[in-house]
Amino acid sequence: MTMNEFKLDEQPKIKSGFKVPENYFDDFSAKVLKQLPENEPKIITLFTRKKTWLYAVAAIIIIALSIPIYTTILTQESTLDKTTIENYLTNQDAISDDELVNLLDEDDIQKMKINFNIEDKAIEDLLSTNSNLEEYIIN
Amino acid sequence: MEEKDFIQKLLNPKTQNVAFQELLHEYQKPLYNHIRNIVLNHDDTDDVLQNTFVKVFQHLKNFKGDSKLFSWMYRIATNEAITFINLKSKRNGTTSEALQSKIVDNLKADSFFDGNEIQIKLQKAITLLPEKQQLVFKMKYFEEIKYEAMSDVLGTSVGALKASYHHAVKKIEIYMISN
Repeated sequence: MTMNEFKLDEQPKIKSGFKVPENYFDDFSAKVLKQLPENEPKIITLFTRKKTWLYAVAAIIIIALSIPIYTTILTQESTLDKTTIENYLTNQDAISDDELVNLLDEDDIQKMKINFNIEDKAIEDLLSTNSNLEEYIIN
Repeated sequence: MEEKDFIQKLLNPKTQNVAFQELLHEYQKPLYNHIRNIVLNHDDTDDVLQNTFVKVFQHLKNFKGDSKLFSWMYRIATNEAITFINLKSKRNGTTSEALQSKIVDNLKADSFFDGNEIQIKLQKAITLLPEKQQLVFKMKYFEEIKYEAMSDVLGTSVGALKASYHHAVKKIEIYMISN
């Protein structure tokens, strides 16, 4: 070989010179195998997806079943009978007569009017048989 | 064994582990050399080689058998190695060319490099080549991969590869004489 001629392919092969640490390949595959995902990831996702579907269906069933219960509770509440309300109001000391009157409208008052169709004679009879009449007149 | 049958074994969960170990055994050394020629030091090669096999395993499902297992695996290894070099040079705030010539300048101190002056000179000459010519030269000269197989790996025609190699050799010969 002269200084101005260098033929790479006619030369003995020049090696790269890179060395591998001793026993490097002995445990290399074990090192790689440790890093591999253990299970097939697809199976896991399918399974969890199935689970979510189950939860969703269960939730819908529970809601559907509870609708009739809800509605009965609601209707019961709205049909508290009138006597209960009346009893409550009359026994309620905290509500004054004035407050009650304010709550009544014209219609209610008309309904409360009672007809006293009593004849004069009946009154006279009643008064004459009453022994305490004098007392009433004096007072 | 037919390559198709071997791929079936790799895909079947029952035979997968054994088949993958076979694959590791067959390819770990050639792929190590291939990656080492690109990233140049041992520790980086170790990282890239592990990543390569993990990627191979993860993507086995998508391997359609259009190309050979050999070319597919070399393609993954090449991509991993080049991506690694680019990332490493970016982290160090330099270019991949500058990084490679720095590594080659320090080869004498590398405990896993055992080469004489000519070997160091050759490595130096390679770093001065364009990326594609570097790759073709290393695969042809050091790894002795045939042009047809290389064409499958790199997706370049055999003619273009031969031209690349020819240019690379010329430039290297000039460098070897003048330095």
